[in-house]
Amino acid sequence: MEKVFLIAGDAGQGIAKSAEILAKSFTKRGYYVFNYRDYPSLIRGGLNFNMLKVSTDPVGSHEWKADYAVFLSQQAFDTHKDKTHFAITTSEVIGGDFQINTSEIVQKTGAPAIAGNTATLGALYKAIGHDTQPLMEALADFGKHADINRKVAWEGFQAYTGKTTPLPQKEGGKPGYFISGSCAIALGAIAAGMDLYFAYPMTPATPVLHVLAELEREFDYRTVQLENEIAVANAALGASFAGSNVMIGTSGGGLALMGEALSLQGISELPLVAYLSMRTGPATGVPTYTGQGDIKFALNIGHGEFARAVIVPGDAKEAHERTVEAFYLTRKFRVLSLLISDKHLSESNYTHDSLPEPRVNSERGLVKATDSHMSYKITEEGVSPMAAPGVNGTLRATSYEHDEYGYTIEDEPTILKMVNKRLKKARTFEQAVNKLEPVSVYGKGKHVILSWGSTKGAILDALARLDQASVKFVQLSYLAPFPKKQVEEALKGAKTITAVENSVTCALAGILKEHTGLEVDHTIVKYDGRPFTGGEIVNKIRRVIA
Amino acid sequence: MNANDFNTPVPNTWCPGCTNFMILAAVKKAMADLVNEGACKKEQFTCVAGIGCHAKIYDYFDINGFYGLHGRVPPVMAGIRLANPNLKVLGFSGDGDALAEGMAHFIHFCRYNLDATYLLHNNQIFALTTGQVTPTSEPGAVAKSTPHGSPFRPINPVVLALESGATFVAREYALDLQNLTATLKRAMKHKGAALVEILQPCITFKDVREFVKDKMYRIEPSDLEGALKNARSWNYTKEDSIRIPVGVFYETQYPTLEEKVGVKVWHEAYPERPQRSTEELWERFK
Repeated sequence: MEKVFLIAGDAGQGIAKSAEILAKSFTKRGYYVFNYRDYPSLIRGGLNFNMLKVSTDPVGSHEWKADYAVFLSQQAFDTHKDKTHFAITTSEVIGGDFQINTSEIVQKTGAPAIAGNTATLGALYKAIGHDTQPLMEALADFGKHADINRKVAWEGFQAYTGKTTPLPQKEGGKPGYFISGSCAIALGAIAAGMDLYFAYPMTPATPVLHVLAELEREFDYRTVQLENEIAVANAALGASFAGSNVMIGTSGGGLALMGEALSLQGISELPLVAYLSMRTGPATGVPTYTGQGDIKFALNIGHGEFARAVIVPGDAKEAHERTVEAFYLTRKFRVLSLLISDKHLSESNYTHDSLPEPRVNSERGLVKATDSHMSYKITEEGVSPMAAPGVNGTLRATSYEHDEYGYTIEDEPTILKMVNKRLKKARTFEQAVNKLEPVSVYGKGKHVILSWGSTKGAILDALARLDQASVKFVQLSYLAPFPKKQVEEALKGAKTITAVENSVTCALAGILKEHTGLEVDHTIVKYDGRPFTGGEIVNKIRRVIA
Repeated sequence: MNANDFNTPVPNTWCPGCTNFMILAAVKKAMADLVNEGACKKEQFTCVAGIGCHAKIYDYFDINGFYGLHGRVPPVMAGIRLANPNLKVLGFSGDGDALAEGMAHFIHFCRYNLDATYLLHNNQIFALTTGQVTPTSEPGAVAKSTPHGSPFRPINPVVLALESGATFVAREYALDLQNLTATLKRAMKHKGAALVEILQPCITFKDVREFVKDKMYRIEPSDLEGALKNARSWNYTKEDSIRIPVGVFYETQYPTLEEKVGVKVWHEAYPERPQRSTEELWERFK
C-alpha cells in the first residue's frame, strides 16, 4: 500500500515544518515516508509544496499525483488542485472538499496564526480514519509550543466532518528514522570525528552548515562561515596542515571558486573532505532545484593531475556511511575526498528502518614528528606519514613541486620522484576504494539500469514494480577512482544497458565508455530541475525494454 | 639562539642585493629574540606565504611553513589558527598578492582580528612576473603592461587595514633593519590582527631607494582618527614633495576570532575522537 500526501501553501507559511510533522507522525506508526520538498528561490510569498509518499514498504521517491492534499493558500489550491483526489483547505481558501476554519481555531485556543497549519493536520487525521496519537507525539518537535499545537490539532480533528478515506493501518511496524540527506551527511561528519567545518552559504549545501552549526557545542567541534568559498577551501587546507580533521561544503558555483585550492590539495596532500550539493546549472541556474549536471566538473576539477575520490551516495543512510568513508580515505591516503549530493538527496527526507553501518572507521592517524621529519617522505605505498606542527620538527605544505622536506625544487629527477610518489599513492588508494563496495547490484535481470547518486530511490521504487527477473539495477557509489572491475562484472551478460541521470547529456554514458569501453544502449535523462519519480522510471524502462 | 639557527640549506634565488634579504634577516632576528625572551618556542613559528618574490622566504626559514596560493595567505592563516591557537603565525604577502588577488581576504583578516602577523612586502610592482603595475603603483606608472602609463589610482593598505579593524598597524622600511626588527617583534607580541607594511624597493624593476630615503619620518601610535590622518598623509604618489610616515600607526586590544569562536588544539584535545554510535547520533531523527 502506498498513498501520496500533498501539503502546499505560500513560502513563509511553514509548509516544510507541517510536512515534516505529518511525515514523522506516520513513521511513528511504522510507515515508510519519502518527503520531497519543492520550493522556489524566495523567502516570502512564492508557492511551496511537499509531496509525501507514505507506504507500508520501503520507499525512496515521490509521485506527482496525490491521494490527499492540504492547501494553505488560494494560490496553492488554484495551482495544484488537479494533482489530488481530495483536498482539505483553510478558511483563507475558497474551494476544496472540506474547509477547516483555522482562524476560528487559533482564536479559540489562543494560538499564533501559523499554528492554523496544525489544525489542518488534525483534520487530515480524521479524514484518513486514524486516531491522533502519533500526530500528538510528532508535535513534540515544536518544543515549548508543542502543547498549544496539540490543542489546535485536536480542534482540527474535531472540526472535520467530511468524508473518511481510510489509510490502511500499518501492522507491527517499528518507528523508523526520518532523516534528510543533509542531516545524514552532518551526522556522518560528526561520526568521522570532524574538528572544523568551513562554508559559505549556498543552496542546497546550506542545510549541512545549519545542522552542523547547531550541534557544534554538543559534539565539540566548530563551524565557521568565512568570507567566500576561496577562503573556505584555503582555510580548510590551513587547518588540515595544523592537524585538524576538516570538511567544507558548497554547491556548483562555490566549487568553481574552490578549484585552485582543490588543486593545491592535490600537491600539498593535505587531507580534505569537500561536500558538493548540486543544483540545476549552469551558473546561478535554478538554485532550489535539482540536477546531476556537475559530475564531470567534479571529476575533473583542479588543474594538474592528481587523485581524488568522487563519492556519490544514493540515499540518507548511505550518505552517512559514505561521509565516514570520505574522511577515512582523505586521512589515510591524503587524497581529496569529494562527497557529492544534489538538492534532491540533500533536502528530501528518507525513512530508514535500520542504522547506517559505516564499513570503516575514520582515524586522524597523525604520527609524532621527529626533528628530521619529512612532510613528503617517499614510502613503499606512496603515502607520506602526516604529523602536526607545533611540537617537534619543521613541517611543511606547499603549492610548489617540492622535495621530501617540502622545499621548492625544479630539477627533473626530483620532479619525477615526487610525481611517482603521488602516482603510487593513487594506486594504493584505488585498491582501498575497491574494498568499500563501490558498486551495488539490485535484482537479477539481463536489462541493466546503470545510475549513481540520488536517482537510487526512484530506481529502487521502480524496480519493485518491474519484473525483477528481467531488470537489474547497478548503482555506482564511487565515480573516481572508477570501480572498473566491479562494473564490468555487474554488466557481464547484460542484454541492454540503460544509463539514468538527472542531466541533459547523461555524463555517465561517457564515463562508462571512458573506463570500460562499453557503450550504453539507452539513456534516460531528466533536466527540468525536478527529480525522477519511481513511476517515471517504470514507464521509461518499459518502453526501453519492450 | 640566534638568527642563524633559522637557516635552511636551500640556495637563495632572490636577485643579488634584493631588499627581501633585509626582511629575512629582520624576521629571523625577531624570532630568535622572542625565543630567547621565552615568549615562544621555535617549533611554534609557522609561516604562510603567498606567491611572488616575497613568498620565496618560505624556503629560507627553518620554521613550519605553508607555501600557499597567490592572494590566499589570510584564509590559510585563519585555518591554521582555528585548528591550533598555539602556533605563532606569520603571513608573508606582496602588494599584488595581498591587494589585487587577495583583497577580500586582506580586509576580512583585519575584520576578524585574527591573532597573526601579516607582513606586506610592498614594492609597488609585480616582480616575479617581470614588472607590471600593482594596486599600490603610483598614478601613471609605466611598466610592462602599462607602457602608456597606469590608468589606475593606488590604494592605501594602511588606511584600509585601519578602517577594516586591524588592531596593530605599522609601516617600516626594509633597509632600516633596526626599526623593522623592533616593530616586527612588537607585531608578533601583539594579540590580534597585526599588519606590518614593509616598503621594499625592487632593485631590478622599480628601484626607488634613492627617492624614498629622505622622505621618511617616524611617527608614534595615536588614536584611530590620528592614525588615519597619518596614514592618509601619503597615498603612494611619487611627487618630490611627499613625506612618508613610518612606525606604528595604531595599536589597540579587541577579542580575537579564535577567542570568539572558542577553539582549541583539536588534535591534542582529541588525539582520536571518541567513536560515536550511529544509534546515539540518529536517535534525534526517530
